This record gives sequence, structure tokens and C-alpha cells, in this order.
Amino acid sequence: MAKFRCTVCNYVYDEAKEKVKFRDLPEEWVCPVCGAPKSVFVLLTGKAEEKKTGRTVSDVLVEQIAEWGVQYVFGVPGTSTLGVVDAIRKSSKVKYLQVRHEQTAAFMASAYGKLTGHVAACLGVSGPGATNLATGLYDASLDHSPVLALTGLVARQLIGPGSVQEIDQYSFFEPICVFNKILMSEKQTTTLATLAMRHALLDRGVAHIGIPNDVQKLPYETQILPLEGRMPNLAFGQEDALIEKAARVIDQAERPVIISGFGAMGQGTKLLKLATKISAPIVTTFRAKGVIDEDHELYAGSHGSIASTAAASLVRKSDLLIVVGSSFSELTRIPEKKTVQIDINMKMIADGKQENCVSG
Amino acid sequence: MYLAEISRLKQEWVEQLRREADSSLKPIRPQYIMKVLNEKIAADAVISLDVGENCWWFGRNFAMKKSQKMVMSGYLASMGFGLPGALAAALAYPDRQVVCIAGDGGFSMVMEDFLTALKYQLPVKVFVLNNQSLGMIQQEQKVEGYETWQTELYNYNFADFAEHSGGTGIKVTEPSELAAAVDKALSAKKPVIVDIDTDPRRFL
Repeated sequence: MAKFRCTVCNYVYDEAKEKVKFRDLPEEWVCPVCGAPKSVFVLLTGKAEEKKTGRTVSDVLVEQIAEWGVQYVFGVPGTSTLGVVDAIRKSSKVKYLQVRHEQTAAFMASAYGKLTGHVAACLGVSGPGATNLATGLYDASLDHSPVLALTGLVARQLIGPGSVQEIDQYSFFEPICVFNKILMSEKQTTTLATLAMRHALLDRGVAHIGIPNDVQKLPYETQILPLEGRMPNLAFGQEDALIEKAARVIDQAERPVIISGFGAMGQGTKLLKLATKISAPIVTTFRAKGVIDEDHELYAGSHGSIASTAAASLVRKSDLLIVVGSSFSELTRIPEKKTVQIDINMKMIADGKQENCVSG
Repeated sequence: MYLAEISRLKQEWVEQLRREADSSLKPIRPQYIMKVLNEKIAADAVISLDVGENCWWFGRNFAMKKSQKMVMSGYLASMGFGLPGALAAALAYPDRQVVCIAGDGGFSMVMEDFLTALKYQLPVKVFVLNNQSLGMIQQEQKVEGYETWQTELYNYNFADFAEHSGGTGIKVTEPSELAAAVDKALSAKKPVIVDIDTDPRRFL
């Protein structure tokens, strides 16, 4: 008993079910679904079922990102992601959430990264699935949220010559991403997945891996690279002289104001200790709302376009700003004046918008 | 001296916010909506914001607690972030109350994925500040001396959409009904949309 597939609509004629051998069907018989002639049917060799039992590139990829703690993939399944989607189905560690639009998938991954600091993945097909991810991924990129973007690509031999749903996906993702690679050989699976996770977390942004349709389904088995030993310790300190200089500048100030950005999230207790010690109010950016209880007596409100009258007045009349984990966006409107800046991101320090800056 | 000044300025600001939260006006003033949400939302809630007037009012008038979490589209400031942010929050913090605050403009960009909340039983609480307009842009048209044009939005009741799709929908038109509606939404088991008739004007 064999099965035959209609190459027009994918209807499967199953001899066991129909009780009539395919070759015994009359010549004028047509596909009951799409009306295509008998001649367009091909024998299903059973290979499709066979290949589902062995491990594939997709299985290895999913297991490798699970090793880095990825728990969720958000996406819309489609032609060029079926291999990866099936690997997630089989995984006991990674869960798939089907959404209605890829923009939602990317926003969800971005929000997940901002909230937890952990990486979630989004998955879209080649062409429209990939472009629909873009807005959510730019959100992650601009807000430094670690995200893994996976996309299907057309089969390798069609990249270049052009085919349905093919776009220049590599170039499309290049300006969005801190890491952007196309998985061209099964032997790159664990290394590219590991590098993608490292870059997403260490460069705090979007890592993209495009996986051609045929590569997803290649049989492959290898050792998963362990997480252990592949993440550096990011703790660091500053030289005492710089800390002492900052302390002197703060001691000399009569009207210091602490401005907290999102980078200080979770450090509210320390901020309050400093504020209490030097008798300074705490003002936040929008994203740092909630770094301390807003009804605390030393909290003066947010600054910038949503400013409280109190925050605006105190910042205007201040003689020193202590800026902690904040960028200097035009919405926050931190003025140029004497500043002590604290940030873990070296590129944020004294980025040219502040004067008389003691930084570290 | 300095501490006394800080305390006085803070007090003046808190007083101003209290005065603004006028519960007698229709359509409902955004400041009053923020006041009610402030009183009702759980101390450990996770709040996902959309972009627009709703977000501006939240930033200005909602007093966050340290034990709450808030997520938003910061630098990109993209409309449509609110609901997906809430879905992610519901997955990341399954034991906490998850609230989405959006406008009718931003919510309608992603409303199809309310079905995702229903499918996976993610009990998000969506508050749509429905001012039937792209309020922030309308405000900008006013400030820049332009006619109000193409910033009015088709009037749609998102509570109906929630009900039709199998969730809970609550429509609020009277300020006096708001507190009870918020209570009902926050205790709902199913994903819920509260559609609140909101005054599009920033200041009267």
C-alpha cells in the first residue's frame, strides 16, 4: 500500500484508505480537492516519515538555545520555518507560542528581555514574516533588550537567483542587529547559536540567525556546547581616586539632584541610601519610574516631557546632577551642567552632551 | 532648608495631581482614570504601556511603587507595544497581575493578538483609554497651529470585541462607574478589555 501526493495542492491519496490502487484509477480521474490530473501525482516514498525520526539541524539549534535558558519562542508558522517549528514541538524545554502577527512576536520578545533580562526568541518565515518582525526588533535594539530573532530562508540554492518569499534577508537585518548570520552548513549550528546568545546578552541587542529551509531539515547530531565557561563575569570597579573625586564634587554641592535612569532599576535601596546621606531629591526618567516608591519624601517626580513641577524646578536650580544609568534623550531633557555620571555602559559615559563631567 | 524646599515642591505637585483628578466631567478625564488605576492596581502588578496620550498621562500622573514593574517602548516609542508587552509579562510572571494601558489607536494596531491571550489563557487586563483620536498628535496639531485633520479615529467599542471573541468586555462611559469597572476587570478570570470613554483634550 502506497501514498501519492498531488503536487498542486498536496492532497494525499492513501491506497490503504481508498481501497483502490492508485494505478487502477481511471486516466480521467482528477484530484478530488483541486481537480488536477492524475499525472501530477507523485509517489510518497515514505522518506518524509523517515526523516522525522532522526535528529536534524533544527533539533540541535533548539537544544543549543535551551542550554542558554531560552524558554519561549513566539511566532507564526509557515513554509520556511516548518523544520524549526517541529523541533520546538519535540523540545521539552522550549515552548512555542503561536501569535497572529509577527510584530507581536518581536514586541513580546523585546518586552520579555526588558522585564527579565533573559532572552526570548521570535520566529518568522522568509520574506513577509521577517519584515513583520522589524518594528518589534528595532524596539529591542533601541532599548538594549536582549532578543534572539530566528527566521526561515528559502532553500540555499534559491538565495540569490530569487524565488517566492525571498528577500535580501541578511541585508534587511544588518542595521537592526548586534549579530547577524545565515546558517549555511550544519556544522555551524552550535557555534552560531552560542555566539548569537552571547552577543544578545553581552551587546544587549538583537541577534539574528537566518536558517535556509533545506538546512533546517538536514540530518545532524552533535554535542551541545555547554553554557558553563562561556559567559564572562561583568562585575568591575573604579579606581579609588576617581570615586574620591566624585565624593568631593558631591560634598561641595549645595543643591545636588540624583537623576535615575532605567540602568538603575533594581538599585533603589542604594539610591535612597545615597539620597538620604547627601540630602538630595531623586528624579527619574520615564522608564525608571518605580525605581523607588513614588510616595517617598525624597522622590520629586519624573523629568522631561512628563515632568512634575517639583522635578523641573529642582533640576533647574540644582548645582550638581548625579546621573545614574540614564541616557540623555531629548525626552528626558537632562540639562547641561556639572554632572557626576555613573553607568556600566562605557559608551554612555561623557558622550559629549555633558560638561564638567566626573564619570566612572 | 533644601530638604524643606524639596518637601514643599513635592507636596504642591501631589496637590496639583489631586485637583486635576476631577471625577465630575464627561468624557472621563485621563487624570481621574490614572487616579483610579493608581488606587486599584495591585502593589506587585506588572504594567505594560502603549504609546500616545495614555502613556503621557501614566508617566505624569501614575505613582509607581517599587514593587511594581513597568515596561514600555522607550526610544522607538512604537504604538502597538502595550498588548504584546502584557502577553510577555503574563508568561514571565504568571503569579502577578498583568495590566496593559493603551489608547484606541495603539491597541487597534495589535488587537488581533487579544486572541492569543484567549488561546493561551493569559489573563491580561487591558484598559483602553478610548478618546476616539490620535490624541497626542491632535495636541501637536493644536500647538503647531494646524487644523485637526485625520487625527480623529472611527468610534469602536473594544469591549464588544472582547465579548465577541470570548473574553470579558466592560464599557465605561460614566465617571461614577469607573471604580467598579476596574475592580471587576482586575478580578476577572478571563482576559479582559475595559473600554473607557476618555476626554481627548490634554488640558481644559
